[in-house]
Amino acid sequence: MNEERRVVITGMGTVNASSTGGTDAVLSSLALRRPTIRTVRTFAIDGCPSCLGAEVEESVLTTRLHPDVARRLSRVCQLTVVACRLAVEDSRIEGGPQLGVVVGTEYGDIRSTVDFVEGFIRYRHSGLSPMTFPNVLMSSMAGAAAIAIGAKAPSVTVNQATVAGDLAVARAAALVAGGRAAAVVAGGVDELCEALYRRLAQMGALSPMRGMGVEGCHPFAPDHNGPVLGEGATFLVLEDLAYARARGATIRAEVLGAAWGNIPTAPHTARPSQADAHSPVLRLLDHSGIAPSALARCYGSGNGDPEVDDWERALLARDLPDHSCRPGLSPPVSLAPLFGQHAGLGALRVAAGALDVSQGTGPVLVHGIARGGCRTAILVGSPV
Amino acid sequence: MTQKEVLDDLKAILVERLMFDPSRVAEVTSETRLPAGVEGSLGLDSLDFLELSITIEHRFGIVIDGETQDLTETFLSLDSLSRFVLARMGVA
Repeated sequence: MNEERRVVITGMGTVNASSTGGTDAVLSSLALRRPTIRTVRTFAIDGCPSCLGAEVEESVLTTRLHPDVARRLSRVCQLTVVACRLAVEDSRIEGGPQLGVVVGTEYGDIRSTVDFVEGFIRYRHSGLSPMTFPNVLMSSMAGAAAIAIGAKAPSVTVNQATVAGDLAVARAAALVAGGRAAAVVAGGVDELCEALYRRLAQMGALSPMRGMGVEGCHPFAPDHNGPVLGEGATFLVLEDLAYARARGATIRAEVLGAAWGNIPTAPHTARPSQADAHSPVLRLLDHSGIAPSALARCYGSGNGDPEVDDWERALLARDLPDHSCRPGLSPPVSLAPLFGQHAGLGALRVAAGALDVSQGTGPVLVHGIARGGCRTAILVGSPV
Repeated sequence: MTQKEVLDDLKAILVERLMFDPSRVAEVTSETRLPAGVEGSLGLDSLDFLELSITIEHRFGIVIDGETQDLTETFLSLDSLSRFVLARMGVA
């Protein structure tokens, strides 16, 4: 980030299985570590190989959205709008041409897509719902959020397994650093829906993968046997430091750098293990001049998928060879057991890093790796 | 089919397809204005009317031709809409 466009975090908003609100809600959900993973209740799971999930209470949405607004938004759009509004309120930033939106999502609005297609299958063209159609587009959440918060700068949607939220924050940091927007509301969102849950479980993509062991979320542990899905939305307000100072914003932390890349690998290969010739972690540390020994902590995307957990650990060990056994750094800290795997988790990792540094720790690395090879790194520090 | 039956079906569409809260629809009378921008109306916009039209065509087996006809008065209230449906069904 150049001197003129330093990027800071000035607000956060979250709707997750543990809590809903701004910075205080994120802080409390991280501190209380309230267990949220339990048997899924919003749909029947009879005959399903998995039964656990981290669900958001419906009342959270109904109490925060006017019925006239809610009826036109799909549930995943409602999650997005509520979290973005909370982030904007937390930051006390106004909408306008200076404010952008970046939404990361792993699956988008699967529920609406299923409804739309089923309408056609059952009733042909008369079953195609004009109200549902906009929701089948991946950009529907970003559009709904942009309208809700009055964001008129770039509106971007990114899709990526496991690291969609991280990638959204990284892209937002680049937009602000590059002068494309003075501030960007960025984060991730996903929802639990029956069609998706059942299919992933049947594919063996959820704990207990391949039927091994007891179902649960245990990243980096010897008994890790797959991720547990969660749902929710978490968004951060990333802002040009000068802009934030000019309007008197509360600065929580600085994004010292953000980088991403892809490790060439066969998609969804059974056991990814390739080295990263262009590590975003090394690029960031080199660019920022921060030594690995200065890192206070690393939040990782490990979610209990054994092969990807191991891969993440190996990648970090290669990048930080002298710190491969340092608690909190390797293995990295995973938040998946607190919230379940969903795109909001990436933004929660960055939020956790920001809260760490605001409480006086050294720089925090937020790392992500997806099975397909997408890798992200975000370095969060205290603003000087 | 009676006008009351059509009105009941139209109210059901407001809940099932336009996603209105049932308690809100229960307060709607046959004279309540539908289009947004009218005081006291239900606040339907163009996308709502499109959804409503397609659902009415399917539910009542009629064709609504909005290209050659001005349907502004037809979609003004549930009363005018139900009369239109009955006429297209050949009941009224």
